[in-house]
Amino acid sequence: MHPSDQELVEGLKQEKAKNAAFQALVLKYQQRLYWHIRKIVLSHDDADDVLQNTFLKVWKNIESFREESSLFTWLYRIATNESLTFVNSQKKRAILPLNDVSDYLKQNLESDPWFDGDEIQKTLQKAILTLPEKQRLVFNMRYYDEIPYQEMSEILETSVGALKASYHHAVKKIEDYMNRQE
Amino acid sequence: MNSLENIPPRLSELKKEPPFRVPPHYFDDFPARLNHKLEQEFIAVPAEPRGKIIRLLKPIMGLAASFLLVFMLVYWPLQIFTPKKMASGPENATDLDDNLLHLLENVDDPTFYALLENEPEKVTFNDEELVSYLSTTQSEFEIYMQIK
Repeated sequence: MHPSDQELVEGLKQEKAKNAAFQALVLKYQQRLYWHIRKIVLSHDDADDVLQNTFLKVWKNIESFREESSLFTWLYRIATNESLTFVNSQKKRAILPLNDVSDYLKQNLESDPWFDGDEIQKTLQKAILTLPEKQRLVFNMRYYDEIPYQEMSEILETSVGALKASYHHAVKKIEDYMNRQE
Repeated sequence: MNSLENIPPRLSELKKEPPFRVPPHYFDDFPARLNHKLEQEFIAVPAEPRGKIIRLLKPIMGLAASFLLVFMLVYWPLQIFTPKKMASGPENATDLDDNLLHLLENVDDPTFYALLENEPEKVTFNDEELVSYLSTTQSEFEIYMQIK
């Protein structure tokens, strides 16, 4: 049984209870955040790095968390930003010249030993990689995690209308891509 | 959930689970690995106040060291390598010494040696010299009044 978000936040802001509350936070959210990150960076090793960075950032910045949004929203926002920052930095470090981030992610997808899908699944992932960054995020959060638009709006700091439009365009592009691959 | 209900046919054929796996026991081991990383990152945190003071004092210490270095490189060698006469006193003292030297050069040898003698010669006057001295400096009335 995990403690409530309110209990976690209170514990994290007290010096004596901070360690225990942080351990509880990691246990409660590690899997959800991992899968969110993994869908953005695709490879397990990168997802592991980003998940660690995300929790380090949470530890460092918990005092600045003002509780204007829910803890879950705040964590998702940190994880999303860390993932995008990581992917962009890796693209810059790449030895071979890459046209954009999707090239780096495509390499990740091909080389990741922990990819567990069949060919159709791989095609879907490649179709997702053709989307612009924002549409990719919205599609993953809506299609796989089924996060409500209102919550997504707080995480991505975008209006609900714009998110709905992004998802609609994303689904259409993916469908077109998959039809072309047949 | 309208958008999810209207998934196009190609997408609806697929499982809605991400096609990824994780290594065995990954989520069991993750908290311990994260703890280790946290310790590495924040091990120096308790020493921060001391470090902060040193960080604040660093520019001041640097400035002081620079002044000391300039002193060592400029002032100290000047003190050592310039002649004592130049370095020891103000310019007026040098002028005074020069004047004294000049005066001594103009004095002839007998006078010079006479000045060096410890006791000056006892000067004696005869009556005529005394009368002559008194007559030039005092009137007869003044002399008369002193005798009286």
